[in-house]
Amino acid sequence: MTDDSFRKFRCWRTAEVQQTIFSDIGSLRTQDDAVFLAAHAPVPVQRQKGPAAQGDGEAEILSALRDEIGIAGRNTLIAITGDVGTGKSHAVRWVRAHLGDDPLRHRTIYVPRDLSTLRGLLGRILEGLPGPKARQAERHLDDAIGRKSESQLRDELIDNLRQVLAHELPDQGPGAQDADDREERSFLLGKREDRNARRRDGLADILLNLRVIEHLSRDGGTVAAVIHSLQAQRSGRDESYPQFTAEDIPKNSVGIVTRLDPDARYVWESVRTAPAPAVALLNEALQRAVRMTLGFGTGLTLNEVFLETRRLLRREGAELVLLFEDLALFGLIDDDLYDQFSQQPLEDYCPLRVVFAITTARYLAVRDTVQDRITHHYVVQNLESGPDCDADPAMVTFVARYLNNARVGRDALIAARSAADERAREAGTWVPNACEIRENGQPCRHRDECFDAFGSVSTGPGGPVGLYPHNQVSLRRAARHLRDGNRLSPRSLVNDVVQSFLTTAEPEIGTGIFPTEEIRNWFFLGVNRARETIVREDELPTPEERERLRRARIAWADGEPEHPGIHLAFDLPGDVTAAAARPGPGTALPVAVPARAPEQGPVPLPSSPGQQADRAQSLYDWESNVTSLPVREMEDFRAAFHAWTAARLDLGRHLMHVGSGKIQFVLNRIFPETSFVIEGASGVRPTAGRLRFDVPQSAAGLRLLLAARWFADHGHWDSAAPDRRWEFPADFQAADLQVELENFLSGCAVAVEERFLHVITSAGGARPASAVVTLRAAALRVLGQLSRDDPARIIAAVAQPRDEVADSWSPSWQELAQPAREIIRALETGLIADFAAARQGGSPDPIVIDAAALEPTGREAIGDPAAAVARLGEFPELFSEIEQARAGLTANWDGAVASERQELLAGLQFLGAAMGSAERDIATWADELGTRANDDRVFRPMGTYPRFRQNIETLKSHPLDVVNEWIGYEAAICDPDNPAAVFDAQSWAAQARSYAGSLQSVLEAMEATVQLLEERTARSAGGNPEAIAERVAGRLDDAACLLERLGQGDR
Amino acid sequence: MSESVDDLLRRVDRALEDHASADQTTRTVKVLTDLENQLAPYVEDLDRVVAGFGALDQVRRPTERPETRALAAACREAAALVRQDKSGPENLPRTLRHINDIVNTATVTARDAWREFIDMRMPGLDSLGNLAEMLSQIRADRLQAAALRKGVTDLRALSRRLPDAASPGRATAAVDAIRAALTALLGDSDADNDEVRHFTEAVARGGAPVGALTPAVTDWMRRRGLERSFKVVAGQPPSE
Repeated sequence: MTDDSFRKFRCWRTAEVQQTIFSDIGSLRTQDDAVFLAAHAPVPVQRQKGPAAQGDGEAEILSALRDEIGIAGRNTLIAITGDVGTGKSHAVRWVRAHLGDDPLRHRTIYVPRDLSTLRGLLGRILEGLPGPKARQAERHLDDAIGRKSESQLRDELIDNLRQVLAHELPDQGPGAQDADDREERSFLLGKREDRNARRRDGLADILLNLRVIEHLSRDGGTVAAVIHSLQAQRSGRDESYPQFTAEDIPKNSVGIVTRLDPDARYVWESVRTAPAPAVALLNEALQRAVRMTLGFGTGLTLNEVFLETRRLLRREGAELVLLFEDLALFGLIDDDLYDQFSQQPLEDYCPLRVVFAITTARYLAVRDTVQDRITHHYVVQNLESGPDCDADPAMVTFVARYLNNARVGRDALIAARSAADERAREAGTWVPNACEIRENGQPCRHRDECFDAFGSVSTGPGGPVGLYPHNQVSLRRAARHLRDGNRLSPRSLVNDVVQSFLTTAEPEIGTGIFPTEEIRNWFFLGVNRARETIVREDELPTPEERERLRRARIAWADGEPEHPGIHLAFDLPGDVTAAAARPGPGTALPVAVPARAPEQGPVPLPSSPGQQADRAQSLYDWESNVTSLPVREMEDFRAAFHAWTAARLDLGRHLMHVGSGKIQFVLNRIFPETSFVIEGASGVRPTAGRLRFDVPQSAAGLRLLLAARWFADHGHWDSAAPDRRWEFPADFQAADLQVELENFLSGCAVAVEERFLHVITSAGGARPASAVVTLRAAALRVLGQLSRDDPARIIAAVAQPRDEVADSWSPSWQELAQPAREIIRALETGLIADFAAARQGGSPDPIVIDAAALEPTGREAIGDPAAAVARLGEFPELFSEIEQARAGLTANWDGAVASERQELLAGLQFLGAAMGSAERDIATWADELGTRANDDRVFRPMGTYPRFRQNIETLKSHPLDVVNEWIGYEAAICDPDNPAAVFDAQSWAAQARSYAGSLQSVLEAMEATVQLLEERTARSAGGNPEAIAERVAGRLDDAACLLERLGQGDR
Repeated sequence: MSESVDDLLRRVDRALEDHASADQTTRTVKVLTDLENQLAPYVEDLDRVVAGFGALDQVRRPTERPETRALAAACREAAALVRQDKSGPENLPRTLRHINDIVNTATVTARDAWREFIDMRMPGLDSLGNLAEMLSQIRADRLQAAALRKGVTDLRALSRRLPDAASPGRATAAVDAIRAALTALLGDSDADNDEVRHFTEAVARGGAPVGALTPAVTDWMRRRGLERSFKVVAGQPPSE
């Protein structure tokens, strides 16, 4: 910058800003009244209580105070309330500045907010009070905390706590207490013989313990916090005062209990295990202990100092005026102050005239005895703005005064006020106007250029003040920004719009980077158009430069070309000449006031064109990161993108039926509406495993959303259609946006298809249809319902519904048969049609199954079901039914087949032996014998005849040739290299097992019966004729043998 | 299955029938029991005589055998009838008598052949008893004399009985014991000396003629210290 050029012009310096602009009046020293008064703007107040007084705003408060002075016999309490930052303290300070000194009538004690320690506050009050007690109190205060270390003060505070607990706390606690509470209080405080004696074996004694003292006085504890508040600055005026908590009680008894007297030990155990009552007692003693630590212990209290002062003033005929910029300062002396407010003058004391500011929230917490004595109550009104946030002229003037302060500087302001006479002060003409005197008393050389580019405003007698580096637009946008954040107040304006902004802008303008992205902290940056239309791609070479120019145009020109003066002052990129050709702020700006986008319902349909802002504004705001996309709109976009993408899916070419419930389920899992993530908008993000399609918060994202909105609203791309519901954005071509939207949706559809095919494929590369064929074929083989002769009709056989299969398998076969039964029962064959069938048109019914692809799978499963199942591999969780089926059949097939082989062979060998040894039909023969035995009541085992009959029926139900056919399979089953024979056998194995079981049972009955008969016969006849006859015959045979040997010799 | 299905069902069938005709069954049991008792001694006798012939075969003593084929066939036929009818065949008593006859005849034949076999293995068995007595009296080795006496007794008892399977072994053992005792009593070289044997056996019978007192005998006496154990008396020695 050169001195002669408006380029990079700055008429303020950061250092001066720091000295002249105070967002918090409490931080402005009282000697800087000139700075304060130069920027002062009337504070709007509303009187809530008390008689009317002359003037408006703070002048009315001053009048009310003056009217009260001189009225004997009563105190005056004037409360000024309001929200934070609305100017309450400002009003009190203004009253102080204009009240003037009149020692004969009143003594004024002014308590500003810049007193940051309790010691400072007390010092200020004592300093203003006359009398020996006040001086004595000053000495006490200085002795108490002025010359002691923090550690020493902590010990003193604990000592004082002990004193209060041992001597001063009343036996009866505050508020209503029941018998238990009274007993507990007495127990914790300890015993004493009379009211004047020291309590023993109570909390006070526990505070003598070194371990307890160390814990109480630790860093970070309440004692340390209290002492810190006495000596050091507090972080905030409205913070609560430190209070004891259970954390201040040591957790264990190490080093404590053994050093206590026996009775005190009980108290300690109670405190340790249930600390709340003891903590309450400590807090009750704290305020008094703090006063003692400050030097206001026995013999001298702040209350006494006040009362003596009021007595002295009473005798002098003067009054005491107390002005508090913020009453809610230090909780520990609130009671002393409130006591004075309540103490009426009577005969002895002078009246008190108190003006205090306090936040509305704190005011409500002020004790009732004070509130009842409030004589005047004023409420400071906050700034208000209309819904479209037009720049309020008063607000512009308010800011302009502070801008002027920054330009003039602190020293010049103080000098000007000092030099001014009372009239000038009263009229306000003493305030210098930097724009008029900047050049050694002459107007600024850029005054006209600056006023033309940025505008000016009259702040009073000093003439127009330039708004630079603001203008009306930027101030409106700044106010909108604060309002949107619920922070619009005078303090925020001073803090943000003036102080913070000027401090940041000064170096940035100097280095040619202004405005940076940081201006988002001060301005609403919404605009009613696409950002790429504000600064075109070809207008500037780099995106950084384009963004910088966009920011300037939005904040200072509502997105229109900026005034050439602005371009020059900010040294913006690009050709100033080109910018100058555009309309400047002096002309009628085609600016629609940025307003919040209305919350969208399900696409409201305007009755006529011309509501472009309504339908596109929220998208512009979103692109500019001014406001996030409304939730409802975000949801509408998601739904639309989802529906359009789904419509583009072509799963039919993979022979999959997109209308199937299962496929829809899979699609919903991988591709929910939340897959579309609009950057900078709220809404649930897709969880892991779901597809994600990002719509960036950029020009491209804006075009996509504009296209989607237009098409959703109209269903066509004719931007000139007479029935259009809103105007297509003039800066775009409908065809271009259509192509972008189509490309986006097509890309999404491709990604969805790829992911879909991925998630329906198992680790082994199998898809649901082939998996179902494999698993059902294998299951049917296990259950003996599919033979090696079935491959030709395998798909039909596999898909055929099956009745519930009876559980009649051998124990060794159960490992396979149970999961196989479950598969036949539960594994839907519909998945075959859903995932491998062709359809005609929109019909949901398959016209042909993809048998060519599925039959080889089925044949493999018939030939070697174990290998076929093993090849499937794990299926994703989406197909839990298939995976469950697959896992069920992932068993020890070899072991099961080997065991089943042995089982079958044992049965067949039994049958073979039984059937081969009988000359007659066993069933018929045994039936006849059993019937006879039953008739003779000798059938055994007793009571089993009905079952015997059932078994006979079972035997008779199987023709002998069938049984022999079973027996004929023995050789094949016996072959360990022929597992298929075992699977084939499952078609009749259950019947064979049943037949063999029945036969076994019948033979057992016959055996039992014949044993009974033979025993009975032997018993009744003296022997068994059969056996005896056999023995006799044997003897004769022996004789024959002997005779033959006798006759033959060695022949 | 230890028993075939067919057998089991037949057993059931029969047991049912037996159960149904309890009196008949009782009678059948009695008949069969009597028959069993009647048959037993015949079979035992047959068994003994067969064993006797077996012992003779064992010592290779060929003995004429009786003709038994017809009788054996009759027995088998009877056995079949018993199994079938559970009663005694009508001609069974005659068959038993024939068995008895054959057993008696065969027993005599076998016993004689056995005795002959013993005599052949140990000639002069009877005189060995006297020798043993005499040797005892002349204070020869008493233990050996006792062994000789026991061997002679055993062999003599064996020769009187129908042999059985153990008889050949026992006979051999007894012969060996007698030979061992004689060797011990008469000396290694004299045991087989006929003159000494003749002399000692004559003494054992009551006196040997002087002529039997040969040099070999006197030498035997001297070597054995038996000179003073004998005396010469007048009279005629017992005939040999």
